[in-house]
Amino acid sequence: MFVSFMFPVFLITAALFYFAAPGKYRPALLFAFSCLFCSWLGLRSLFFVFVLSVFTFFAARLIEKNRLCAHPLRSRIWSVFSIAFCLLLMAGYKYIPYFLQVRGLTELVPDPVLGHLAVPIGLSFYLFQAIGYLADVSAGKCSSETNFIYFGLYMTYFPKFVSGPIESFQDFVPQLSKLRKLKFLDRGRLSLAFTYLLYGYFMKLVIADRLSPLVGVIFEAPENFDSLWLAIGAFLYTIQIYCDFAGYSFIALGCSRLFGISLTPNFVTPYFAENITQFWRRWHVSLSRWLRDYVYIPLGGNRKGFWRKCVNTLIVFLLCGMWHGAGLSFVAWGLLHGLFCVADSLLKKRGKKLPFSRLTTFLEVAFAWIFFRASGLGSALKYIFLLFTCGIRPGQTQEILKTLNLDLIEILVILIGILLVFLMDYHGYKNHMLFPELVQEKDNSVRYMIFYVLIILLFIFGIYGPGYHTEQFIYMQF
Amino acid sequence: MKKRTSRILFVLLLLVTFYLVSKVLSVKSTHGIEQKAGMYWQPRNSIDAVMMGTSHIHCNVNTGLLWDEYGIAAYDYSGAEQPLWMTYYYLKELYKYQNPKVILLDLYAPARFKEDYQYTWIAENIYGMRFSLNKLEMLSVSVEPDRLFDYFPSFLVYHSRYDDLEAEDFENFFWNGEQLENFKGYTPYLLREAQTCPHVTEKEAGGFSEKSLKYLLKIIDYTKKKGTKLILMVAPYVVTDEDMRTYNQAAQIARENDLTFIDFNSCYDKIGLDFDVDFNDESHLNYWGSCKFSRYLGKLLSDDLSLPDRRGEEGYESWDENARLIREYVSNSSAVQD
Repeated sequence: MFVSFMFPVFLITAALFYFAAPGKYRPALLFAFSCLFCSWLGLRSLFFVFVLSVFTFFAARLIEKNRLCAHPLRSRIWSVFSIAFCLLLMAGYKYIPYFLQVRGLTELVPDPVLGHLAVPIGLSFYLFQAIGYLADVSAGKCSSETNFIYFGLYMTYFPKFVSGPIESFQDFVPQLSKLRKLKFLDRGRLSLAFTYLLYGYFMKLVIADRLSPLVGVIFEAPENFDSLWLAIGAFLYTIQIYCDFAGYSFIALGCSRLFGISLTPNFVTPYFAENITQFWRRWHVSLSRWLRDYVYIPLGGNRKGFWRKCVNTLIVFLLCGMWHGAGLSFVAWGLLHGLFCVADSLLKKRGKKLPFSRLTTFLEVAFAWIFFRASGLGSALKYIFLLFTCGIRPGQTQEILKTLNLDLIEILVILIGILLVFLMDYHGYKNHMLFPELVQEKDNSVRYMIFYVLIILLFIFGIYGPGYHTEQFIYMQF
Repeated sequence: MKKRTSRILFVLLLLVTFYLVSKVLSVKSTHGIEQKAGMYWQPRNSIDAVMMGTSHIHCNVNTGLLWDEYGIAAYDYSGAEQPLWMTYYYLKELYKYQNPKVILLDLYAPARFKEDYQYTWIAENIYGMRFSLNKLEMLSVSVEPDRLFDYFPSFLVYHSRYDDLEAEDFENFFWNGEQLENFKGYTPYLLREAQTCPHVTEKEAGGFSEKSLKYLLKIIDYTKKKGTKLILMVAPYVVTDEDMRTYNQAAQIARENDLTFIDFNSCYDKIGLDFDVDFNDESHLNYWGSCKFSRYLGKLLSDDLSLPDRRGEEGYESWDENARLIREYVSNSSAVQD
């Protein structure tokens, strides 16, 4: 939705109303705009999130009420019931369509029913928020919310609705009571919001969306490419998925900052990690934290011995894979990361370190992404088999460049774009800060130059709009 | 103070860069876009005869010859397959800068294209017009609402032209104004393709779509209000019976509104067209055919409408240059072809 041409219109309208309204109405206004955003995605999306919000809100109230009234069993029953309901809902939506497809039963199900079985947009994210909230209330880590508008906003908040971050209730809701004092002209906040937006859009529109069709062609028919191009394909997908998801997350952070709400930075220069464990502290941070707090630690974490820790790690990554999608390739991707983590733990236990740790970690991650990107486990294995066996065929290069629609300028744009992201991330990594935050510490002139370069690159090289198609202008007849 | 200065510099730098980049990347085409964009560079209220319609105008009406032989300050303000509803808004745009004595409107588009939304060559008819309320109104009748963002704003389309640039893309800035002023819309075709002379027998009238008819009447009303003589015409091409039905209806409309209607397909011989050598294709005259047609048209305009001979007048130097450039282009291209 962030790349829709209507989104800036929506964002500006929401901001205008937000800052024009009296401070005390701001959360309600944000909630209303978030509901509007959900309905823009489809009334079904709004219906789901609204019903789930009402359910979770009252379930949490009951859990807390019973806990405080010395009815721990009732509280426990409500807690188990409500969390199980959320889990079943997620499992149902993720896996019923998958099993129907695997069993070849899709054609037997009427189209309207199939439509209802499709995962509602954002479900995986707000369901995890709901589960985390219910678990925290149940454990007494936080009180249940009494204001439905606050809770509703926590669930539906539009910058994070589609793809997170998965916010914890304790981080998100306390910020809402401070919104009434927020001033529009707070240059620090506006500048940071603008930088996040700019950086996010640059990653998404200039790099991710440019690489997407190339990667698509390579993964679609890997047999048409040699080992070198398959390796390039895996590398490009590694960059694409990062720029796509991190770009989206930075846009979400920027939008949210505009309204005075800080969201969890989901991506903290992940490809500079020195091992897979560190990678997951930097990649999709909010999901990693959720899995740590609500799966890994309750399973015993690292408190029950080394081998139990390894088993817990594998369980967490298995769930992580299953959360990302239905199918054996996602299971394989999750387990692969789990195995890499176990290997890290083993090395650490023996006081050793990965050789060329950053490069090795990057290669591990890039290799695992093949399972994530391929259309199934079979396709992933085929890709890997070809990657290591088909050799290099230099004679094919021209043909491949033509297939991928790559000319010198396009190759340069891709290389320079990737290099820029690398440099910005490297700068951030060295200073222990995200690049948009680092920019705020620079002199005005430097900051404006960075804005200038990113805006112009985005304007020219961003993949947006219908784009230019020569054939529209080649005047054939009449 | 320092902060404010750097902020102002940043905005200025951004605006200047946007201007330069937009001018370089914007789509250039002599099949509609340049004709529309070039109009803004013409000296104010200098054009006496404006030719509007489809490519039948900018391929057939040689503005250089009209100037050389009759001193008529004419401009081909047309675009490929331009429907009448777009012509109407271009007419309104024209009057912001010019006040012509005569407008010649070619009616090939309503005769051949009947759909209410025509997308095939719409790009040629959009990107030459500057942003204005008039442009938004034109888009609102020319494009279905769900396709609006396929064409507007223009930079959504042209921003990705960076790997399609040619030398001429860097000659589109305001300091190249003189060059842009010299273009008067005519786009010569240099192929010679023999055609068969048509013999149409259709006598019935009809064929205007409801939308085309509505906008033709609006054009008639608008030019009446502006006090400009409007001539409905059909530039020569290999006409068909089906097209003829629409032209018969156009003749009726002209009579009802006290307008002149000239079907130049009915006077191939008077024009002196040779079907073996004067056509580029069945729809367009080539350069040599366009010279014959323009000579015939120019005589008609200067004799019947007493359009002034502007040769030698101050402010009309660009018409001299336009004629010279056309001659030079044809002579160079012909030399290459030979």
